Amino acid sequence: MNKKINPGVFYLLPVMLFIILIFLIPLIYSLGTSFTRWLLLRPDLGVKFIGLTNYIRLFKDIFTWQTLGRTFYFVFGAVSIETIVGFILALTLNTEFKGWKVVQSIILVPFMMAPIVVGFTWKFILDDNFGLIPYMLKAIGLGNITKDVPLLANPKMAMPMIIIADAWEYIPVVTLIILAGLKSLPIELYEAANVDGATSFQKFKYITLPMLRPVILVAVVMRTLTSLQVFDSIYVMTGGGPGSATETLSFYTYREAFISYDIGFSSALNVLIILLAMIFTIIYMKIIRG
Amino acid sequence: MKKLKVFLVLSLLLGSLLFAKDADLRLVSEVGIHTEAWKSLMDDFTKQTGITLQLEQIPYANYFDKLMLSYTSGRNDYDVPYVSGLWVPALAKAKYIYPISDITGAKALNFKDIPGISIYTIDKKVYMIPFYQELGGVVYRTDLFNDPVEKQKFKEKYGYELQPPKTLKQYLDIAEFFYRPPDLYGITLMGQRSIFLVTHFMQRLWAMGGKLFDSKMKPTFNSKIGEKALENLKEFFKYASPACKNYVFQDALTEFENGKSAMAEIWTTALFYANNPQISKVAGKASFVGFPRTEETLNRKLPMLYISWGFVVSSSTKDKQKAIEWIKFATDPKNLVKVAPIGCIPARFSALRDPELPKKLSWIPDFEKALSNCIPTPLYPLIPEGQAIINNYLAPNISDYLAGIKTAKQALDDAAKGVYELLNNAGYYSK
Amino acid sequence: MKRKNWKIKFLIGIIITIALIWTIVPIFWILSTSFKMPTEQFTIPPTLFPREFTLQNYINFFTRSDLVRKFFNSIFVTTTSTIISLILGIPGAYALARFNFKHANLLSFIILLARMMPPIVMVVPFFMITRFLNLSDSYIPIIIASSFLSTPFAVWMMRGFFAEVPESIEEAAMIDGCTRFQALYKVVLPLVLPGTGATAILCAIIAWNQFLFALILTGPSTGTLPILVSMFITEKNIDWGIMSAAAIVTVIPMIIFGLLVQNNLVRGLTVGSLR
Repeated sequence: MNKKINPGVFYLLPVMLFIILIFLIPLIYSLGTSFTRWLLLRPDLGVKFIGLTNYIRLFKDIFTWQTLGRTFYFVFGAVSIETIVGFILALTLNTEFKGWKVVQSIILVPFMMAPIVVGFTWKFILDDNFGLIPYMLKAIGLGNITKDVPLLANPKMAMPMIIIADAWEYIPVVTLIILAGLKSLPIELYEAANVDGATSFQKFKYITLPMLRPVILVAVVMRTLTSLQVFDSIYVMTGGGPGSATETLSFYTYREAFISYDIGFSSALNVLIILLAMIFTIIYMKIIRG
Repeated sequence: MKKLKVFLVLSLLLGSLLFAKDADLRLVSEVGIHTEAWKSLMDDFTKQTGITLQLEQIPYANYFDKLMLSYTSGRNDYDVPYVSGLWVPALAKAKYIYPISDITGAKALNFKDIPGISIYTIDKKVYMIPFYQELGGVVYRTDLFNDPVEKQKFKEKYGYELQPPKTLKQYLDIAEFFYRPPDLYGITLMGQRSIFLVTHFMQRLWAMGGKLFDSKMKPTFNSKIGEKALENLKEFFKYASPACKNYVFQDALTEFENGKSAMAEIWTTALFYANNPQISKVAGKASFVGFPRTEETLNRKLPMLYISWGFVVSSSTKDKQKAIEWIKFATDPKNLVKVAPIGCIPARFSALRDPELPKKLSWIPDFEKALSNCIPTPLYPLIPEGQAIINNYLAPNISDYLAGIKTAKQALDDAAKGVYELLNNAGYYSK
Repeated sequence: MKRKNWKIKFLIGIIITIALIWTIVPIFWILSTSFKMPTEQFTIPPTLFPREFTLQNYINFFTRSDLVRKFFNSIFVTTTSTIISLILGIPGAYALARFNFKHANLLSFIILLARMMPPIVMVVPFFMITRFLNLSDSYIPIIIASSFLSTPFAVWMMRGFFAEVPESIEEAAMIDGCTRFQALYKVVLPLVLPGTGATAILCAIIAWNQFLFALILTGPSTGTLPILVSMFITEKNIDWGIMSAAAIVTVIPMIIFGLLVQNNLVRGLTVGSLR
């Protein structure tokens, strides 16, 4: 039997080559530099191999763990809100009320906006002096929330605000995924249930929910992965503050790389993020395939 | 669809051909009034020497990061950046800027006439020629301080005359006296987790006789004096507006300009804005006093926040002679006095003593008095890690303290620990 | 029965109303501010509609040569990287939809990982490598980076669209004498054109909206629009007016394009998650 080259290889090769080169080379580079002491602002110190020192520093420093905690706080908060609200919105859109397509279009808009603009929009709207929301809070009597400390300067409120901005941008995506899932549910099951005399509530609980579980799971894991990336809104809304209240892993890495120019340490942080992303991506693949 | 894309690409390529050729010297600066001051000299310079200039301005908040990024990525974007004196050590050590004293024709710059020149001199080479200088202190409302009704009420309450504060106690008393929310606050502070917040801490630390580092560069700000300085700062926030917690320089300035506070702990640049009738509601009513001390330290020569901005020359600049020409022109004492009202406190002894100057800026004598009683100290320690020390260790911890997350001792100890590790990692403590 | 319908309709109405207000008000706020006079931006209390409608902010924006340059750069980078993504992605997606590969799972994993990797991880080595190769002054780093970000999406989406075309169509064409490549080009591609359009728009959106890579990998002459939005803080005040104008200019093109292809966009985004 002569081995034929799969003709598909020629179609696939360019893109795989591109992705592998552009993707793997930087990753390997990062891995390499994570074992060095390389401070761009001190060319006189050169590049020195220091083994696992960066990693030891990474795991000994309590700031790393706090940052991980904050990151998971953000991811958990954002994904929960987006999933719940997305689910409700998807159910609502699924009833195909009059004009639902227009509503769908409008709701989709935030997703198309550059995240940096979304961050700017919320920074402005939350501005203590000139923004809409503090003004409205005062108008409805909740002015106490911002009385002593503006929202974005309040360590307890800053992260929730970032979560809200993120939710505003990405709820549409979750909504659409769940909506597509709802639309693909087999009608026969519902018809059979109707014959058996099931109530709406029963139909929801015993047909809709279980059949939607995979879809919701997909949305959750996908959003978990993509919310690890959040950077733009933090950059423009709080700069990681107040204190370090909104400093997530991504932002911490950015600071170490482009403010302190500590290439070695930021590469170690990179590797940590890569590992996290890989773990969640594997989970995601298993869910889609299974 | 495709045709549209092709058209766009073509038009762009055409458009890029139209973009002008670079000027002889590419300047870069922040957006601020002292930049406006020397901007007004640019045309005269080109007329006089034929050297063309081109200026890009980047908002202050992003300026240093962008400049650093431009250098570290290996690009050759700018010839003569206008920078803060604080950035000089980092830029020089990384060899991104060239020692001006090594360029032919540099002697004409007259280094002896430059205050604080030691700040920009590294390994006996001068890296920056300052255009502008200022001190950190207290800007106050002359109308409120001179008002006889206020004076009397103050004397009744506190037992001494109302005047620009000389001691921290007087400073706090006055802040309390003028704390009349929501129309008037006693003091404007800058509370955002940033260098601005740290300046409040440092001024108090120094005023109480403390120091940031010892001679071996080991952090000493987490001493008892440091804790007292932090706690004193918290007291002051009681008499400031709640919005101060998120303020940076521009917000604090706006608040004072709108007449919402009796004093602002800020630097002298603010006076140019505050006294400008086009933008300020308190124009003509703002003056300056050096940062108050304690009773014990009243007459000592103490470190005080000193800020200066000036010109440096990129190492990658092709024609460094031309760069010197511009610097010479821009920092000529006569030109400095000419553009002072636009927004420049000249960084030349000869210009400061020019009798024409107080006619244009009435508070120059107060400024000179404060300057003579202090050791000009930059906002950051003069090492490449200086900014990281302030931004990554002091700012977050002081912010945490004020937010109630840490105690004063905790905050300062955490900061000191981080700074110690940073400097240790960069080789400062090894022999 | 009637009462239940009424209750449900009421509930739907409330949910939709909240959703619409929540979505529209922030966008409207920025739009409104972009048309306000500089003095009005700073009124307390804030006004929802401009008292004095003005185009000054937009005029200021378009008359600054450095700003217009960024607009052109955005167009250039977005167009180029979209074209690259399509050229690479379409054949790749076709291959994944039509052929069996031994390591299909591994390949899918790599493509998926590339899509999910937080950009910060790539930015640092990109920056260092660009610096090493002395490419910092050119468009090449940002174009490669943008292409890298959108190519996985291109593959992902096109694969779904190709999967919907029955293979019999190519087989018929090949029986008539075409090579497979000709069959793809002449027969299949026209069939998935709407899908391709949506994919192109999605790639464009990704490239256009990219901030972190643009921040690090571009200089004064190669910078893109998102950089502007983060940069209008003068020494005196945040100039909300001109920033709002910049923000609107940055988002409007992508909103328009996105809405034009939204049906296929939605199909493409969700088709991968519903195996």
